[in-house]
Amino acid sequence: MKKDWLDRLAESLENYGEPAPDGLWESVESSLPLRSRKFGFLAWTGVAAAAAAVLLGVFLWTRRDAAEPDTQPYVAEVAAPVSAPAPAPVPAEEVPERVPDAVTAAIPSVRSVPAPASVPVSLPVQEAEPSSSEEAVPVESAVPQEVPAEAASAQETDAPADEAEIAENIRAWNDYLAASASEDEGGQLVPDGAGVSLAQGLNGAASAGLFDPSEFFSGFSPEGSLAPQSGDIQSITRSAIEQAYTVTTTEQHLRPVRVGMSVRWHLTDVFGLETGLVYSRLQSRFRSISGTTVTLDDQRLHYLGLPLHLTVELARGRRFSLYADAGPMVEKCIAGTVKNTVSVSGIQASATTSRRQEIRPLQWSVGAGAGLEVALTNRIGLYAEPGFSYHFDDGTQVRTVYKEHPADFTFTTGLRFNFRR
Amino acid sequence: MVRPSAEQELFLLERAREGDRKATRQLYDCYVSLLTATCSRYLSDVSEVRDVLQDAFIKIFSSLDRFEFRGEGSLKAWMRQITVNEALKRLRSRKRSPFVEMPERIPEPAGEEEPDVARVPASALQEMVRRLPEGYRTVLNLYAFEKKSHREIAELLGITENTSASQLHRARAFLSREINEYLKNRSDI
Repeated sequence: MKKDWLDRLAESLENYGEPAPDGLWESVESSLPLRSRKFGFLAWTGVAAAAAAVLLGVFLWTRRDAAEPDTQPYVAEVAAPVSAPAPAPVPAEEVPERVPDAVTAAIPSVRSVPAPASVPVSLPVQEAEPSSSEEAVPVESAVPQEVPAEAASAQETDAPADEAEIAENIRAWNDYLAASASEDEGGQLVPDGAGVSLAQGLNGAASAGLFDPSEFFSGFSPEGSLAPQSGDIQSITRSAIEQAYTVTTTEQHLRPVRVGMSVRWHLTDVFGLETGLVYSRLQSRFRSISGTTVTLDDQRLHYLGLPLHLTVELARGRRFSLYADAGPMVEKCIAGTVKNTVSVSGIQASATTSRRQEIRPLQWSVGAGAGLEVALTNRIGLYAEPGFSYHFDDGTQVRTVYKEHPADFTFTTGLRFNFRR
Repeated sequence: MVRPSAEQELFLLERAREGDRKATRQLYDCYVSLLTATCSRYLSDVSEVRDVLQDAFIKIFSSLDRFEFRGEGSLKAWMRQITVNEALKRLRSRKRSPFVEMPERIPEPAGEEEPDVARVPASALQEMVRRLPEGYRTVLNLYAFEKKSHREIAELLGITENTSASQLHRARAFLSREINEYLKNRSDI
């Protein structure tokens, strides 16, 4: 039977081939799922490691959230040297040289501040500069504090004072209160500034009973009124003392916002090398409370990072890819500002000032994470990557989330360009 | 690309099933040109050919576990079947049907001169098939290359058997005229 010519046509074209469209294999390969049995163990190990990293990150995150904000109350340091003051025209206050241990114990939140054994007095009291660790906050002084020379120059001794000395102290204090009341007519003293020198004296090692601490601090009530008589002094509570002479700093470091633009070279079907640029914005708020004065510093830092990550592809579908990655990153602070606002009794005391914050050293870190990438095109994908990173100390004194929480949970999102062999 | 022997093909198949990307690539290289030609006979648009081929290969390599090797040619037939199905899926997704329904059986056109296909190169034949109107081309492909009956074609394309037959009838007439024209021009040179 003669074949139909259509059959002969089909036979002629049976093995006929045409060139494949350009880039077809790359498109096919990028969409193929990883189903390797050999890779199974590695894949599961990778998935387990990624899950562990995310869990650890979440753990640290929740742990950190529980700890925030960082409240660090402590006594401001005295900047001026301890020395006998120049002859004071009008004594503003008199400072006894001994304070019972009970007073020190009454301020539980006071952080350790080096204190001399003797009663330190600084005249006049300057606005306190931040300490070297930047934990100290500005303490304002509206009224220069002056102390009679004889009181300031009094030397503390561990030996029990004799009764004559005690009586002299009490007499001198009462005389001073009476004089102050008559001159100031109930004039106001701002407790914030007074705290600088007086609080420092709280660590003095005097024995109890030599001087009533309530009397000692009563001149600086929260309201600022100077008690005219020693009898009224007794009503001042110790909590008021704490409030007046304690500076409380609250730090709040927001979790960085990260956006990336990365390039990944797929070295093999599974492993890849990735780099790119990662922008991070760090925001920290420092709130210092000293009496009625509240100082707020809003710090914003902008970092540009260069990561170098080894990536492991764990699973791949037509449009998505699940992967884990790990590696170092170096970041550079490209800009930074600190906005400072001071308010007294809830009212802004001055215009908000802004200054540049420079961080010259590079910031190094290592990190690991697990990410999901959704393909927009054959080469470009949109990724979201939770992870965990550890930031090394950059050696500066600037407080950042990297320094306060070096090991932290991260979340990065961005665009990725993929290149395959 | 030289086609591998049955043993070689089976070996590559096993490796590809284990996720060996090199073996997968070798299987791809073996059959990509054949499947491109097959796909091109169904779809005239180059970008459509690419899309369909991509989908077909992903389906092929994603379902290697389900393929049962039955000797030489079985893998090629299976891959071709998937590719054709993907091409038909694309054709069916179009809003306007390329098939003109024919209510009556149309007789074989009188005087159809049987073309001497053997004298025409494969590339020229391929080009002539591609130039056929889409409805004719699809039915001709399924009938001549996939060896489907009109009933099967009617089910695959959602048309009547009469329509399938009429489309094939017209495709034959169109193609034979083209081939004869080609041969005539060649002999004139």
